[in-house]
Parts: sequence; C-alpha cells; structure tokens
Amino acid sequence: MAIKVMRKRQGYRHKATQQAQVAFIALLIILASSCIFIISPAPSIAIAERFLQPSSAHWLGTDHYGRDNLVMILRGGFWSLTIAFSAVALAMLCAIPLGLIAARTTKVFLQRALLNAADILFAFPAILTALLITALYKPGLLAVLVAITLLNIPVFLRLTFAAAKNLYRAPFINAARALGASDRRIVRRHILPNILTPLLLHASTQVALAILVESALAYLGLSLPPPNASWGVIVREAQNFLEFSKIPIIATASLIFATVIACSTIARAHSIHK
Amino acid sequence: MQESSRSLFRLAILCLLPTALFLWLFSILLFALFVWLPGDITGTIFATEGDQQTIASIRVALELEKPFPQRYIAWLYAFLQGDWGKSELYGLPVKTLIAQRLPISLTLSLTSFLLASVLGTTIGVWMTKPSATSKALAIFVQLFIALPSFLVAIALILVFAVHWQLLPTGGVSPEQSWLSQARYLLLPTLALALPQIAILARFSEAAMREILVAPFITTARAKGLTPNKILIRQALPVAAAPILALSGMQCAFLISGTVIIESVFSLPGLGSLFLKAALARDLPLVLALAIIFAALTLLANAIAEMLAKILDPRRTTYDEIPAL
Repeated sequence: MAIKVMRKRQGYRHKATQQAQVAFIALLIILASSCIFIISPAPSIAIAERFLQPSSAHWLGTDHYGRDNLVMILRGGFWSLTIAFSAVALAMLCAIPLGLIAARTTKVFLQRALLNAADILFAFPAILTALLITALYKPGLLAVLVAITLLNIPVFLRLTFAAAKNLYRAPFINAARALGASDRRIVRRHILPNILTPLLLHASTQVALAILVESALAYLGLSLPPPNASWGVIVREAQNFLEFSKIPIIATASLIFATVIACSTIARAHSIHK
Repeated sequence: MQESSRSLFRLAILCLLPTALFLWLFSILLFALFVWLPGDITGTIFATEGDQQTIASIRVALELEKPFPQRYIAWLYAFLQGDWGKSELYGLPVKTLIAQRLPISLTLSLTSFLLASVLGTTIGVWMTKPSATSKALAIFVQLFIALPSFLVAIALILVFAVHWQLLPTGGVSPEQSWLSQARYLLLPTLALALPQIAILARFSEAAMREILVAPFITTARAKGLTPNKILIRQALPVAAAPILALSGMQCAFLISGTVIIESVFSLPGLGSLFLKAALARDLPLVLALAIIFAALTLLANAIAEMLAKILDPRRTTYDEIPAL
C-alpha cells in the first residue's frame, strides 16, 4: 500500500509539471505572435469592411474600423505583456537591493523605516497612482508603468527581506564571513542565487496581476491611446459596438484569462512540485 | 482592565501614527507637484491677452507669489477647516461635489465589502472540504480571479441587462424608492464584489489548509468532534486574523474598483469624479480626492491590522500572503 501511495504522489507531481510546461509554452506562443504582429505595419482602416464575420481572410473578423481583429488583439497583447513584464522587472530592480539592505543592516531604525515605507506603499492601489500621474502629467505609458512598478516594489521588498533575513542566519554565511568574504561577495555568491527562485516565482504571479491592472487602467483611458491599443483599450472601444460584434470583447477576455492563468500556473505548479 | 485599555491605546497609536504621518507627507508632495507644474490659474483667466504687469499684479493679489511653505500652510489651514477649493471643471466648490457623490460610492463600497467578506470567507471555508460543490467553487474562484473587474462588469451587463433585460444597464434610479435604487445598484455591487470574493475565498482556503495540519486539530479530531465543528469552531477563529488583515488590504482594491465600476455603469460617484477630474487635469479636485482616497485606504488598512492584532497578538505585519 505504501508503494501505491508513492506512485500516486509521483503522478501528481508529473501533472503539475506538465501544466506548468503547457502554460509556459502557451505564454511563449502568445508573446511571439504578438511580437511578430507588432513589427509588421498596423492593420489598415477599411470602413467598408466593418464587422465582418470570421473568414479565411480575417480569422476573427473585423472591428468597427474594419481592422482585422486577430491582429489588433495580438498587437494589444504585445503592449499589455511588455508593460506588465517591464513594470515587474523594474520593480524587482528597485526592490531587491532595498530588501537586501533591510535584511543586512543592523540599524533597526533603517530597517523599520524601509519596511514601514513598503507597508504604506503596499496599501496604495495602482489606480490612484495612475490617476495622479495622469492629472499631473498626462495619461500614457509613464502613468501605467510607474503605477504598476510602485505597486510591485513593496511586494518584492518584503519578499527579499524575509528570504534574505532567513538566509543570513544560516551557518554557511557565517562560515563565508569567517573565511574573509566581503559583504558584496556574500550577497553576490551566496544570498542572491538562493533567493532568486522564490523571487522569480512570485514575479510570475505579479506579472499576472500586472496584466490585470494594466488592462483595467487601459480601459479607463489612462494607458497608451490607440492605435497602440492594449487589451483594455480594445475592450473599451468594442464596448460601444456590442450589438454589432461581440468577438473583440470575447476574444480579448479569453486571451487575458489565458495569459493570467498561464502565469499563475507556473508559480503554483512549482509550489506543488516542491 | 487598565492594563489592557492602555495597551489598546498604544496599539491604536502605533497603527495610526504612520498613517497620519504618511498622509501629511503625501499632502506636501502633492501640493508641491501641484504648485510647481507649469501654468496656473492666471493661464485660465488671461487666456489670450493681458500684459505682464496685469498678470503680475493678479498673481500677487491671488497670493501666487508667496514662497512655497507659506502657500502650503495656508492651503493646509484651509483644507483642515473644510475649504477645499473650487473645481475648475465643474465650477462648483469641491466640497459640494464630493458631498453630492459620497453617498453612492459609500453605499456601493460598503455593500460590496460586506458581501465579499461574508461570501468570500464562507466559500473559502467550504472549499476545504472535498466535495462536488467545492470543485465547482474552485472553478468559479479561478474564473473570477483571472478576469479583470471591468470584464466581469461588462459580462454581467451583457447577461442581466441586455440579454435577459432584468436589471438596468447603469446610472441611478430616478425614483426615490429604496427598492428601485437597489435595483440600479445591484449589478455594480455584484461586479465590485465578485473578484474580491474570489481572492478572499482562495486566501481563506489556503489559510484554513495551513491551520488544519496543526496538532490541535488532530486533538480535536481525536476527541471526536465533527468535521464541521472542527472547521468552524476550532480552525476558523485562528484563521480570522490573517483573513481580517487581507480584508483591510482589499479595501484598497475596493476603492480603486469603484473608479472602474462607476465608470462602466455610469454611476455619479466619487470614483467617476476622480477619473473625470484626472483626465481633465482639474487640479484642486484631484488634490482633494487623492487625499481622501489615500486617507480611506490607509485608514482601512490600519484598522484591519489593529483588529487582526487584537485577535491574534502574536501577529506581526510581515506575515506572508499566499499567491494568486
């Protein structure tokens, strides 16, 4: 009976890895196709061909301007994914050093200050930041990027702080220090490699969240204006023409859903796999 | 008794002081950005003409030439007394606008918060018991976590208002009756609450699962308690603290969610006001609204953390929250 139990557990691990692989490949396909379509010229406006049904020429039909739906959605995917990835990457670049400093420092005041600042920033919804930047500067790429980055910085700061703090207590760090390793060397060779995996996993979850937030901001009109439409803008424009064609909204919704699930599956499968 | 009330006071101060401090710094930052942006009210008054002398004298008259600290303190004094300036977009005093739109936003937010908290926790606890319903609930939760709130809102409109024609598509009811107002607010509340329900459900389930492997649960089971009793009376109170803390953080989502939902359903609330003001760059309005929104968000968080700490004194603010 023990063998049966073990085999079942292995099967479960297999399934989770498979899910993650499928998710990863799906994500890559979406990303690759969106990049290809972004490089080619923008779909032309052909008012005569509005709201066509799906056909061999237009796989998903056309929208209210006569542009091919599939191309528009994939181009939108490029912007949504790029903004999400870059915002998370930027947040990690800013937050990881700060988190490491907070974990390393012996001055309690500095540590408390960093963590409290992170706490307060944590509570700030992205929409507030985006609205503020829109009001003070102008809506567009900067607003969305800064908003999502600010949203993610406290998350990664807390994560690196918790992980690094645990790691600093480990005996091998003490051993390295006893051997004369400088702070920088310890960070580079011992701490960073070990905290990288959980950080990347959280990053995939945060990218999923970032896609959701970016589409919401784009829907409100705070992100890139058309023709560089991201998914939220596509939904907003298609909303006015629902009685003519529901395809843009349904397709965009499915794509957002698929991308978010793919990103979060990668993270969850690994935690099950553990 | 005196001991506990003193520590409660200390707890309140500890949680609220950073909030107040941050709000103050935030107001300074916002006011600075507001002042140092190129262009001010003289641009609106003297659209095309006006020689330099007149403009300069008007600037002095409107106290625009005073140094920054003086202007900030004057603004702060007025703000704290209730004079929040005049909206450039609407021409009305900011306070009037906000007072007009506060009831709708408040009703919307509070109702969806209550709905989401109760339903979310219930569904989360339900999902810990393996059954057919829990699998269905898991699918439901996954669906609503991965969809942005505006898509949920649009889907709800499509199904209930356009296809089945049961509920109105948006706006506020023209009549005063409570029932008709509720009809108009039902879909927005649902749209605001559903993503939160999903997030809370997933979090509650994770928290409960973590607790259910604890030794004291084994003891309860050995004592012969029924599974339901164990779930609700033994495990749930322990999970209450982190769930409460998450609810506080959900308030941030709520407050930003009202902006989206009010925009989709064309409700005249604070959220849509903020959006219009930001897009029109109506700075007095944006300033006041930003401070209000920030204050509400931070206050909700602080109160939630306080309550969580009361429920579970071992808690620190840096407990992990499970992922999506």
